[in-house]
Amino acid sequence: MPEAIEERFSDNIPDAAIAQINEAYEFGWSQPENYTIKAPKGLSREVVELISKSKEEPAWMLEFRMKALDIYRSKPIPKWGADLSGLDLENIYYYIKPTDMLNSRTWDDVPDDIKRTFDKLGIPESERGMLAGVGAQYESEMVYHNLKEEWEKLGVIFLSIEDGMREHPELFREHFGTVIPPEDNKFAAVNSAVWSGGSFVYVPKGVQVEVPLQTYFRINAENSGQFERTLIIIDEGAYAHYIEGCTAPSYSSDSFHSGVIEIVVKKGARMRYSTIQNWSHNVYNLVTQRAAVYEGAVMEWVDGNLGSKVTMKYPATYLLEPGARGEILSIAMATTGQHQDAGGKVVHFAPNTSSSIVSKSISKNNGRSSYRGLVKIYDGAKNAKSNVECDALLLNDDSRTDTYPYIEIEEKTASVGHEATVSKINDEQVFYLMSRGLSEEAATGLIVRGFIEPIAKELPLEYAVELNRLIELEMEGSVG
Amino acid sequence: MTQLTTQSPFTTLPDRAEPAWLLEARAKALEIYNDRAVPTTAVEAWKYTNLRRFKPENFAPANAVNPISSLEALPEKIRDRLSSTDAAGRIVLSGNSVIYSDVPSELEKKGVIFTDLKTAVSSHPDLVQKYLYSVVGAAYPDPSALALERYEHIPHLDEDKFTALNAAIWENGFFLYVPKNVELELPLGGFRYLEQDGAFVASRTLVVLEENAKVTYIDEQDSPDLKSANFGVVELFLAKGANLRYVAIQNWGRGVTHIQRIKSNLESDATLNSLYVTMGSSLSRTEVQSALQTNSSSEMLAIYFADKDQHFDQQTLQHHIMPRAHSDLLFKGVLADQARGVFSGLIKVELNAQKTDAYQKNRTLLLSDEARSDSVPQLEINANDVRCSHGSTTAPVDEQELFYLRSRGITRPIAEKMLVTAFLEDVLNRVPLKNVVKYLEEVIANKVGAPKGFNRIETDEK
Repeated sequence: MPEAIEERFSDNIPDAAIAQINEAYEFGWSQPENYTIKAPKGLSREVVELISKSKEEPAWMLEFRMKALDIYRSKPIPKWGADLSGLDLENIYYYIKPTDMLNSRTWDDVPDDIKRTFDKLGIPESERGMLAGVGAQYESEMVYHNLKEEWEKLGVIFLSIEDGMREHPELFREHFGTVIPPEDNKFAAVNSAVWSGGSFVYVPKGVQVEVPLQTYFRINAENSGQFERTLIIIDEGAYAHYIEGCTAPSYSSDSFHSGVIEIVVKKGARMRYSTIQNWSHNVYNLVTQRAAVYEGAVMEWVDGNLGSKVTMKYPATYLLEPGARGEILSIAMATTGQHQDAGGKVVHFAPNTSSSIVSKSISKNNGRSSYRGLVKIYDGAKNAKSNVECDALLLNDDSRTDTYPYIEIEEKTASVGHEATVSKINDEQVFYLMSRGLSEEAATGLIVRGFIEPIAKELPLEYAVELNRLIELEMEGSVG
Repeated sequence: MTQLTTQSPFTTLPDRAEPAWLLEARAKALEIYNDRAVPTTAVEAWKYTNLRRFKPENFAPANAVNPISSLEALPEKIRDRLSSTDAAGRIVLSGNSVIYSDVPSELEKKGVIFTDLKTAVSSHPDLVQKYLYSVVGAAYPDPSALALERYEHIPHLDEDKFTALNAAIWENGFFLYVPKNVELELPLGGFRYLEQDGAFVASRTLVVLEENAKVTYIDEQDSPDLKSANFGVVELFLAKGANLRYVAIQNWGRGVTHIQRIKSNLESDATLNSLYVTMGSSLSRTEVQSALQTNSSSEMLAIYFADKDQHFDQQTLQHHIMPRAHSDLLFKGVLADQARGVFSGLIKVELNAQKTDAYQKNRTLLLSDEARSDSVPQLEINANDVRCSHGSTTAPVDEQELFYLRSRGITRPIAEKMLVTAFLEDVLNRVPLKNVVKYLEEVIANKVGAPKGFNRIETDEK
């Protein structure tokens, strides 16, 4: 293998390279470990029992977990998609309980060193500003969860998933594991076995939660796994916007994040789920998220993948009843040593359903971004319509991009389009901006921001600013 | 002769009076064949085509057929074709036997060789040895596979099953060689015919264009309805600056299983304009691949029309190995009745292939609720200064267009047929071979179920 190729695909990024990556990653610091429970490394029945016991779960859940563990063991690591050979599943801590003080409703009750982390990340501040509710997960547990009173009064439920299970057992059991069963894939199975943390959201009929709910995920310890599980139910005619953000310290060895997000959008309801994924570049991020969408309802995924070493994540929308609609906006940025294998899936089961997927990716240095998607239209989904657009921007000569769209159609009246383009930054545009007095770097940055604009504008202003800022950080020093 | 079987792979090849290098190559290919399993749907490249019901052991090698005494003795279908073809030089193979050959003598004066491959092995052993298996080997990796270790599309080993089979047991096909700087005005044509029920053929064609050579070659396949199988390979080699127009028309009868790989290697500055037509057979699997060196250009066009229980699977590869090459792919297909169409295409741009300009488009028209279409247009781009795009659309006949035609007093069935015809004709407009296009229009009209002369109604009225 030629040296250049050897290097770009090497699993062992030299320390110097990590230092270089971390320079640009502003969330790479960590707090000392001071934990209540840290299960031994690796996955075993004992670890699963420990988790279940620590959460004082009902028996059916332990049973569910054990069954999922068997399913996990029976499934091979997928051979398609990103290279997972560097992921050592036995070298991971599957459960870390950071404190006994879980689900505090005021930041004052959160232990100091953990609170410092979220202060530094600006979470309490933004909660005061513009959010309806905030959750914060540290390692395996939610340490903070609060919903503003005005929403609580309307019957909105926004709890940690554990509290949801305890306080709303019927609603929880009715939906848990129904959208994404453990059999779905290996990583959904491991999550089902060791899940911990995540949110439980219920929005009652007709209630419009106009400001977003947010949960923030932080991994702190080295080699740790985070397996949050989120269940969101939007009842008929209701609306909510849920935002998920993630960061972790930079270590030289890898951590593992494998969340499962299940969403039910009932008749006439609308749900938007936004992710700003900014894990440090040593995290394997293998997430399963799926929404079941009923009559006339709308599901929107806004998926931003900037961080992690490897991401495999394809938000899925199942359009189960007539008139349902799904939208997926996906943005990915891959720089040195990163592989963003992102995309989306839409399955049309019913007539007059429609969907759209817009994907934008940027590859810098030897980063690799891939779009992987599925549009499936079953026989009987009359007049189903779907449109997919993928644009890829390549910044350096060793940047790489792929497009793998699967389009499967069994219905004559369906109309499906897919388009993709790959290009580099247009020299003429750079030249034009420079002739107006911009530096080359500023010009390039502006073009990149213009490129992602169609997706950034779908985010609340604060997040759009954040997204732009993160991309700017990644872009630093990209010219020259 | 040995039976072709999957259960007990043949361990020996029949004795052939062939040069040692060829016998050796066949033996090696046979080993690879025996080593590979028949690909299942778990193999990505065979995801949408299930070979479970295809039993190679049900077929016997084709018997020899005697040359015909006069043109009248040709099978009617072939006679029709020969009477209205663009091809000035033609050879007809029935099964593995040459039954008719009409090659102008001035070709020989120019140094052009156009014969069947079996004859070429003995008449031009050095040339055959130099180029045979150089474009399509028995197994992956073939010579154009560079630095692919980390690619996702590392072909599964079982994908080599049928190329290895062909490399081991091929009996005959065509051989066309055009020397340096020779340009041929008139097209050449190879016609393949099958008439033996229950027989299989493994046909292999080798086309070599030396530097700056230029030719048009038409490859046609036809048969009555019968149970048969073709495991084909076509190797197209274009040296520096060569220019080839290549047309492949697969119009086998129902009952035929057709598995063929057509690959072109384009050296720098070479140009290929190709058209792949799939109309016949029951199960058709066509792998169309083009490997491009510096500044070369490959146009890959295709039309297909599957009806009843036909299953057409098309796999394409535009492999940009070196900078500044151009490729343009357009595959248009119509699926009627219970037919199934598969398109899986890949543009692969290597690390150094800067300034690549590649385009890929698949358009599918669905005429029936029971038809099924799977389209997977893919990109793997490893260089940044490129222009690559692809598109795929799947839709029924456009209601607005139908409405327009009906408002002009045309009945719905006829309007639909007109639109389907226009949909495919769109591709034929890019092929400057009058008689080929005329023939294909007839084939399309036949498939569409249009009245005779339907295509030319509008032109007649003008």
